[in-house]
Amino acid sequence: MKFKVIIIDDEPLARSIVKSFLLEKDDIEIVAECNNGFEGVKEIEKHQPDLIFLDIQMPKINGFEMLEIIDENPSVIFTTAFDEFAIKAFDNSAIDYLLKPFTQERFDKALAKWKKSTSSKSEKNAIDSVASKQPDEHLRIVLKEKGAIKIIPTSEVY
Amino acid sequence: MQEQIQVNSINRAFQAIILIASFSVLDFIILADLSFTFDFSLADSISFFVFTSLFALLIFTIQRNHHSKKVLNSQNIGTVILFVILGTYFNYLVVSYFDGSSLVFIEFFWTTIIIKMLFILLLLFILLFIFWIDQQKLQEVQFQKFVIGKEKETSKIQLNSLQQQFKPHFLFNSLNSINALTMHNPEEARKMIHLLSEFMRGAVKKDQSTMIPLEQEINHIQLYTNIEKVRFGDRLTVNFNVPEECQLLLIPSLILQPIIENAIKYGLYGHTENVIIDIQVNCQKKYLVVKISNPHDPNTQLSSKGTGYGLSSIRKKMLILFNQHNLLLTTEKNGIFTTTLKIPQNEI
Repeated sequence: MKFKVIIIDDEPLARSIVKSFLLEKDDIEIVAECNNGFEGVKEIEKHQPDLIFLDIQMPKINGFEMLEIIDENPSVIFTTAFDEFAIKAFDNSAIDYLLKPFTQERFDKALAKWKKSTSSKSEKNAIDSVASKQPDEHLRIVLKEKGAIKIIPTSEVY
Repeated sequence: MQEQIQVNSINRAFQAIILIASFSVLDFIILADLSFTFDFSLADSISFFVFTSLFALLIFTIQRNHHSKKVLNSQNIGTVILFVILGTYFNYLVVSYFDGSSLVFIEFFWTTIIIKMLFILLLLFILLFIFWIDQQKLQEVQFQKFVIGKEKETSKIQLNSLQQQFKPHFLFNSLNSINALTMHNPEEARKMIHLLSEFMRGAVKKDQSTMIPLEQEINHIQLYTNIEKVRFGDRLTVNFNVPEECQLLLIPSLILQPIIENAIKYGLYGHTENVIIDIQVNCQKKYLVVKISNPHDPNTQLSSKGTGYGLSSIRKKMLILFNQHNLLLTTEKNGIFTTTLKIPQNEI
């Protein structure tokens, strides 16, 4: 299954860079490109992407305001020429903050960071979901060992 | 530096006292050698020490507060001569208290008065030179500090005015566009690099206080708008209407670019639709009039942050250059914001 990505930037050339950097990534599919925050909100609700590349200064509403509108935010990598919003971006749970112009190397690093965060998040979700299915969670202990998830009955613990 | 000067002043005062004391001791030895009484010789040398120290202090104060570029000017020479006369007179008054009625004293006083005055004159001139040199050095240090401060101030102003010409993110966004073009359209990337370098050269080289023909300023603006058109594609249209007869009229260099930048910013970021910026020039009798219009939505957050469209610095610049108010006017009508700049002709 491919990860769904949306690029939101009001400059066509800026979008094209992100697009070209993503071209060779087999596990990623660009499901939409948006000119502004309004289009962004619509496309995010429609596609429920795993990751968005988001510019900050855009027509009518900026990137932060767009995130406030969305109920459930996907992972966000900001792409902007402004360095002064970095703290605010990380306060908004940004995965990374790419300052334009950026290189393919820096872009790949941000992507790797996102993949690492999603894999640890999915592991946590897997543990949580297994644990939540138990009628009485005190009867079992869930452990993660060398990447594998183990469930041990408490009766076996001495 | 200030501490060092203070320490030097204390050292200098100490040195001056030692010098005056040496002259006083010499005076005492000469008088004693001439068989004057111990009391007489001591009174003479102490009065010499006290009055000369007092005058030295006054010379020091005068140098500190009324320093002149020449050491031997009428003020300094006059002061020293006055102090010599007063010093000799006060010395006579003190010493005569001890042996005033003595014929030996009166005879001695009048035969040695010239030598005594020359003695005081020499000492006060030595001190005058020392204090003058100190003050000269102090002023040089202060002047250097002033020059360094001015240079820092000037470079800060230059930097600010450069930032006013183009915001750093304009440069980074343009470089990002070039980055994209190099992948798909190298020919267009080369054109963009040319536009950007020409624009930057113009912004860096021009002196903002000089007047240039309008056509030069318009060429500079066209470089800027062409760069923005590459960035925003079809979303941005800029119309120029510059009559031929206005082309050679004068305008302060680099004054239009911040206005156009604002118009593009508020036009593009206030609307999601395509945006048209109009630049209209008129030549009136005494004025060159430039009107810049852009679509304006007062309800966008960008507008509510309003810093008067960042036009206050241009208003200030116009006031400094022409000493006239109301040369920059702004109006808003039917969703169109218009900035009108009136440039008086034959004023600079």
